[in-house]
Amino acid sequence: MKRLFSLIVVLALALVLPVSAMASADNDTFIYGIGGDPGNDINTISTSGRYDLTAERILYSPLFNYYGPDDIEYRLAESFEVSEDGLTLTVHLRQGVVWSDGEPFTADDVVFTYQKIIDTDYANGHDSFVFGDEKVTVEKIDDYTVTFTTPVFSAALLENIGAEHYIMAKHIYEGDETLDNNPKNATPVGTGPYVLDEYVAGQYMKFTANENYFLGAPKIGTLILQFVNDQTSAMLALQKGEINALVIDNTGDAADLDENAVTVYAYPEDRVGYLLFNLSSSRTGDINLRKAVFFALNRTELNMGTYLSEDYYVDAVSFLPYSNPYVTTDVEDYAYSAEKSAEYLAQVEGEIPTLRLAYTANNVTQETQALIVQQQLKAAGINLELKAMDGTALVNLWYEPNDEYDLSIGGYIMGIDPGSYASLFVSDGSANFYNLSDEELDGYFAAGSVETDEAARLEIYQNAQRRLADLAVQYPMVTNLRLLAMTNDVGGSDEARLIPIYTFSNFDQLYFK
Amino acid sequence: MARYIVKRILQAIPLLLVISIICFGLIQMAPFDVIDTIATPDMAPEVREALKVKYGLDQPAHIQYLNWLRRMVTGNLGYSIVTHQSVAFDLAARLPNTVLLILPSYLLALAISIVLGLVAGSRRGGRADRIIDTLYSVGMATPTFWIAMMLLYVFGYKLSIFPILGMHTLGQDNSLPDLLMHLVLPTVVLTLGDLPGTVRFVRSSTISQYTEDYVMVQKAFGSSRAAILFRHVIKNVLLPVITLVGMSLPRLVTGAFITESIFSWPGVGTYFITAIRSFDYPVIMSVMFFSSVMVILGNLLADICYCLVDPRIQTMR
Repeated sequence: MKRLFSLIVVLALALVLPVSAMASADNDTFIYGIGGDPGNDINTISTSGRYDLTAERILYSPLFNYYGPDDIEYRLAESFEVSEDGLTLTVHLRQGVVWSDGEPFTADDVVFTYQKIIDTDYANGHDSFVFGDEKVTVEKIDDYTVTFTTPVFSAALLENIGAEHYIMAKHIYEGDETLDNNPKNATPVGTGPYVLDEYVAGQYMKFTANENYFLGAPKIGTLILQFVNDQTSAMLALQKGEINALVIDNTGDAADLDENAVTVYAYPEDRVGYLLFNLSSSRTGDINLRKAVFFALNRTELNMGTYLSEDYYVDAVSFLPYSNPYVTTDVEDYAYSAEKSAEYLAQVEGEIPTLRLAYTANNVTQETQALIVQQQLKAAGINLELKAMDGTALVNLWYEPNDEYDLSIGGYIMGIDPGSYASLFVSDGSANFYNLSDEELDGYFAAGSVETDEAARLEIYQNAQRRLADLAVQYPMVTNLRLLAMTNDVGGSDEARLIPIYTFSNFDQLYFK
Repeated sequence: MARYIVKRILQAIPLLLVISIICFGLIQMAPFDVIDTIATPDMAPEVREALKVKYGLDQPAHIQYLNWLRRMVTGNLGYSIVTHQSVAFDLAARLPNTVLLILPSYLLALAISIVLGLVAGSRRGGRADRIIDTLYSVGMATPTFWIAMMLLYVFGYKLSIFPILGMHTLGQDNSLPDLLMHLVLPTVVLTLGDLPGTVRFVRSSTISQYTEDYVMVQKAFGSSRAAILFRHVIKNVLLPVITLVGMSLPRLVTGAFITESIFSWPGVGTYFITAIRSFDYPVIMSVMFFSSVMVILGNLLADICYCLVDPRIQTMR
């Protein structure tokens, strides 16, 4: 019996030791732990989720990455010029680029891709190319020149053309009836820094360096998107080196990471977190009540209580994130003032109603914010009931006018052009969750969208920010930073550039030290 | 027997239809659908509508159901609306992983709990019974996610004996030792999770058998304690365990969500829950359908096993 036991122990050790020694990743493989499985049906016109867009950026290239009027990374485009009337954009394409199957990339691919987006009504970003019955037209001038012509002036044309649109190969997809649910998506042919090597459902996507990448072969040979379901175990795996990078959901967790193994990078995702008033509720019509609520809130305390360190957030006072070129701080910021809150509360007609705050259940950040808001309002003599809801149920509640809640916690990541925020605030906006209807504000957004003079546009959108603040329907709380933790052996985060949604702008720039 | 089996299978068909209608109905009763879960504020209402039309969500509920049923009957499970991936492909990739995790841990839990349950039940009130009783009480009160996190922290992170994530170390997809190393911690967690309930079941069944007249008769005849337990009591104790095993069959399809999540095990559990969260109905309906089939099959197998083990039941039919 003893012998048998000894034999089992020896066998078990023989099994364990070589495997545990092999457990860490080698230094030509970068493993990025992501919270979902993007699936292996990535097509450049139908992808819209965070993780499938990330995989798409690894496999495909856009014409250019638009990060602002003075911050454009050219990719498949080499340059462009805009006509004087602002209606036509002529794009000059990079020559000598080849698809991963060796075929040359030409203007035909660009026209094919954008034509599909314009013609397919469910394509991601389709609506930004359609103006009523008129559509943007795309034309090939020669093999390396394309023009985009918009029927009406659109200040966001450049951003719309660059954002989330990656060029697909005409010679692969031409004549296919459907682009999503298309078997060809499982073996993508792209112009991105990597090519797909293997997809294992529920486990990982493995990419190998595209040696023909037009900006030079990536520095790391193998890139893996590993699907992780649980943040806590993924953090352990990160510190152990099983994975190299992970986004940290809760700022409180970042302090727990071993700094000898991992570095946390905090970067803006241009997300604005805010408190909104539902004007369709019968209890929120009085602007004095809304202002009393806003002045009773202590933004500094609220954000520090939620994010625990100033390294992880920036106070927000406008509907635009602080990094937006059009943002202004010259607005009513509702800085905490118990006196002003009491003054406005005294002007409220009738009894002070108990307000209901709806927020997303099981979202640690929102739960913390809700509790702090409740305490701060209680100190000002305003009672707040908390109503935790399923995320999708809450969003659906926002879309319909109703009396079920008075306040809610939300957040958005919109485009760079302030015009992209119009749908949130104009009277007939598709995402006007405030049920707001204000002629002056509508006027600013209408004027801004057709104004070609940059200085005038700046003035218009700054007025829009001031007007929205005066209406006291949105209390911008925070532009929180997204936290990416990477093992200390990985370098190149500056060159790879941390950006919203995709995490890295240029995956090819990461390297092992 | 063959006639009985065919009859039971035929009876299962309307039952499956009813289950699928209820499940589909519940999904439809939700005030939102899968497109709402993937829509973003900057998505125009026209695009949302176009997506609903594309996936047939603009149709009345009964038409949507009939379309699903027609596809199902022809063996087409459809595509996930969120990832656009074929449901059949996804399930085929994940089902073996789930079976690989669930089956050994369940069999292990069953074997251990039968032994512990018999020991505790046959020595009711004794020291062994008190120890086992305490252990399963503690086990029942301890959530599996906590056990999983503790094991991961100690054996995965601190001692670095076992890997933390997934099913394979990357690049070692065909390595059996590597797979076994990844299996150890989740299997231990699931086994510990299954133990308390089954031990309690076997223990109470054993105790009730010891009150039966035949045990008293055996004692009167002077049979030894072991002879009573292994020759007489065990047969009667194990009979209801067959039902327990049969009822556990659906887990082979639905997986173990919590354990799979914590260990990033690529099984059906995490896939199913992700689909439920986003109302991805082609996925939900497919997993639900196979799980219902397994419930019915589990019951049928349990009944057949009963007939084989206990001839009295066969004559009663």
